[in-house]
Amino acid sequence: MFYEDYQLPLTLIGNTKIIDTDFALKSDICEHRQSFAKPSFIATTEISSGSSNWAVLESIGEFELVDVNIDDRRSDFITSLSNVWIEGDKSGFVSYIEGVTQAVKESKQISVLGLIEEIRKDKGISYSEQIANQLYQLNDDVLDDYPDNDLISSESLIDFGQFLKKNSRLSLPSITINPRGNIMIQWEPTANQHFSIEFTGQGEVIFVVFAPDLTVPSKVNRVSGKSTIYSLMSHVQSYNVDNWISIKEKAA
Amino acid sequence: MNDVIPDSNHVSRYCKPFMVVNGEPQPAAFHLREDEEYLSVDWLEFLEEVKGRCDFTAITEALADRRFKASKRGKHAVFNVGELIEYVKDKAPDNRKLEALHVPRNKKDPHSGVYNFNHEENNMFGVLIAQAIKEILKTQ
Repeated sequence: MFYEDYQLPLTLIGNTKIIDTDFALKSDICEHRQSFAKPSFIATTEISSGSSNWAVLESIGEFELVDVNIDDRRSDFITSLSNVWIEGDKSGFVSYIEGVTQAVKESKQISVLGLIEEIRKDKGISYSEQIANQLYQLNDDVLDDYPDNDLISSESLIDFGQFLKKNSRLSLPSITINPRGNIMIQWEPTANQHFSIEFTGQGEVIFVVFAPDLTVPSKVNRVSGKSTIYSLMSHVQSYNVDNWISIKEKAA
Repeated sequence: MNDVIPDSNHVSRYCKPFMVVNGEPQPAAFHLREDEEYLSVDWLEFLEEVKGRCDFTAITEALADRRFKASKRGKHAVFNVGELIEYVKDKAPDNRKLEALHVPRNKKDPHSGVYNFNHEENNMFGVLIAQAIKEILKTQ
């Protein structure tokens, strides 16, 4: 299971309160990760930032760190967590900041790997195995350059998975990671036929389409814009993109 | 004042492995970070002048001189400056004219920049720049 494979022990001291686990799990975690293991207790620090919350699972004598933030703005949260702890002069916490930050990074990497596995297992996604393998390789390449595991956006990865699931007839795209850590996919059968999508998080995408004009095919339309993972494909329908990025039916 | 790189000259851009697919640099390799004003490249004719050569090892060494380690699985994308500017100008919806300027950190540094687009325009210009690649070199 997700947690059992990745134990991140951390002794948490100070201002921590225990809350009922079932409610938090049902309302927050399960929305994104339905196969989540159910712990018997969940503890949430009283320090939070906006919609970000940090939670820890009780383990034997220790706490296991787990992210339950539905909005997944972890890098913002790291900053705010450190600031709060330092500015609040909670000396008992300060010595743990470094360890917590490291644990956050490790937790983020776990999250990325877990999300890749979810894509691999998802039968509703075409080429799920190949896509997961590509993502693993990309993650390895990213770790070579960013050993602190901090680049790939798990929010972008979640949106990518949802987009694939919603559009199950797409042929296999090229996948890359851009400097912002966002997943980018693209198809470019010819220089005049290009469709790329950057998953920027929160369900939003930036897209680029190059497509021959349907009325004057010698001319090429080139557009870029913002959309959502839900309506992007209908947004670009007028460029006939579907025709060259969908899986081709075999002739009878 | 930064020197303008002549149209007949060439620049190279190091492309990280996670921005390369099947040996070919993808548009993500030409995106600016939010704090970047220009796309970092190396001026190859200048490199040849100071190092006596401008092959892939010389480019990788130039990066190392700036304490930047090029991965074995990365690539150097090479552009002819004039062709790059003309290609983007011809295809960009607003006929944008990019500029290539020398931005050295010391007298022997070939570090340069491709100017005149910003990070909010990454997606469109990343595609156009990727399509203007003249040659792809290995790093090691």
